[in-house]
Amino acid sequence: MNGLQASDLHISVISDIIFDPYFPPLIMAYFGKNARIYPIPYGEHNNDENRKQLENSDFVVVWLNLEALYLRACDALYLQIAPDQRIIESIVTSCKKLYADISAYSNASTLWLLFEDYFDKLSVVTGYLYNAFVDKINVELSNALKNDVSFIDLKRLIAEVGIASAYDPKGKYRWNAPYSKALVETAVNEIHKQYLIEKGVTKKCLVLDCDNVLWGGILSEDGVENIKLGGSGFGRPYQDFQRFVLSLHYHGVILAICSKNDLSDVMTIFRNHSEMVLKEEHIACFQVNWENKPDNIKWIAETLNINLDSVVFIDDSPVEVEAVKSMLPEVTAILYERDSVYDKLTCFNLKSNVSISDIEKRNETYRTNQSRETLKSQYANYSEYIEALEIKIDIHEALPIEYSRIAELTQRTNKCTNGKRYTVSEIKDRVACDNVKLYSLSVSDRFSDLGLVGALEVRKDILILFCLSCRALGREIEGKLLEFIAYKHQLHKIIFKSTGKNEDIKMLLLESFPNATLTNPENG
Amino acid sequence: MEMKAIIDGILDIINENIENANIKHDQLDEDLSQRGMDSIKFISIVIALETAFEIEYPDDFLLITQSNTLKKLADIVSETLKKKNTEGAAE
Repeated sequence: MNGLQASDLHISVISDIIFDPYFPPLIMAYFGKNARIYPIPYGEHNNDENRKQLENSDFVVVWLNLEALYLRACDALYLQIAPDQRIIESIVTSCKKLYADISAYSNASTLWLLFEDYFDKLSVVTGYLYNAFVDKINVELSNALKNDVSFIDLKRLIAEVGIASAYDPKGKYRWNAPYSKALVETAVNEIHKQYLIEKGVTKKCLVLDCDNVLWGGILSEDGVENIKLGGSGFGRPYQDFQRFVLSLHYHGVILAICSKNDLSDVMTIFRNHSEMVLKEEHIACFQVNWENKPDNIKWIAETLNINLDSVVFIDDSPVEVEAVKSMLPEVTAILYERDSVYDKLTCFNLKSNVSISDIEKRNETYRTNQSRETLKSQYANYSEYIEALEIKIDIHEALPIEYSRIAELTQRTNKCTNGKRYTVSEIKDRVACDNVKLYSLSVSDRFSDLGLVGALEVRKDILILFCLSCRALGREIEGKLLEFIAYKHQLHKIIFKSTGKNEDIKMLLLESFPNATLTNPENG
Repeated sequence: MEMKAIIDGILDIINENIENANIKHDQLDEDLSQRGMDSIKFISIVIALETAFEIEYPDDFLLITQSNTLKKLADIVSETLKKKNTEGAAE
């Protein structure tokens, strides 16, 4: 139950089964006491009251039960007949129709639990021969709505609690509530996880120790040739962990190394060891020395321009973990243990459809920051340094292909932002409004292409969105962005909501637009 | 278990599950569906009764109209407890 406690969050649940009495208290336990749940029986979502509930929803969950809804379709399972394509098509068509109705009434994000067939008892006598029926429905359904809906793999959730514990036969025959409390809780946990992902509530940076974390053994004592790392034997768990860490990198997590070693030894491994999955280019920052780790982690956070509360640190030494916990309580410090380390990383809530090229650009910026620092030291005057960076800025009206990155930017940015957060569907709605101008800002310099690092939205004389990635700070880009707004628009109002870390940008906006007033629409 | 203890336990469960129900001991025949007990709250009450009294609520009384007053609920719980104790003793 980490992260966000939602304020006045309205969740509609469209279903053909009952989840009570467990669902409401669990939703409140995970989302906070201001969360409200509106059950909408499947087939009744078009009536006036339910339409109104959908319109007011922040989140819509669809959970349809194949057995309750399409009992006849289940004959394909029970009678061992080949799945009839017409049945599959009719189920998918009715689901598409349901989604069309939801999207007509609501802009809310939709989470859809896919179908499952573990209720089937036939396996008791026939064994577990594969029946593709439900998987075919799920594949067709998820393909049909893949751009609009996030799908949850209900089979996986059932596997998590175990088939024997997932069902409640008494509830099923009493009041059409086929699932156990344990499964409903696992589902609520997953819904909460997807909510956090949607809202961008996640840690940003993973700082890793090396010895007995990325490889087995002590590099300075055992030597480069004796460390354990490989695809089999004692080196396997370390390589598997590296593979997992690499997947975090490709889901947008910034990686840094903090190790008590000689830098040259560590770099030799990263550059030359054939079994390393993590390479030098995946690491944004190496802080390898014999100094204390809390100071090194602080330095990493400063260099990367991120807050300490966005940092997760993993080390195999309980002493180091405790030192970081006590000296940097904002950092999430985790003890590396081969089998349990993965379960301790639930603080990362990562989107699965991130752009690899954006991530590579982001990492490149962090890695090339060192070159920028070197360049800076060569110039006594800051403006000369900025000139030498050969910064190129491109501000243009945002293209649909950029909406996803802009949404991500609004969710991730806490410092240089007016506090406005958007989802992709909200952006689509905004740009469809009259007089709304949404701009994106891309930056490159002589060291790297930073990509899309800023966004602006202005409606008439109101600045609705101002958002600049921390990667772009310190290069006077914010000044250019403000000049651009002043040149294009006469602002009289600026939307501003505190993130707890954006006080500086509030002052900057007030100084730049002295005739404009700040307003927070949430305060009325 | 004495009837008074059963009624006390049921009253607590009713008032916990139905907001502003405020049912009291002497309102034995008050129709709970008129005081906010919908089908969802009824499910919550039945499951809470099963947990509190360690009984299996009989399926024959799962229609709201069969269990919509404090008296009806108390009779059902009392009978079920008696049956459970008799079966327990027979074993």
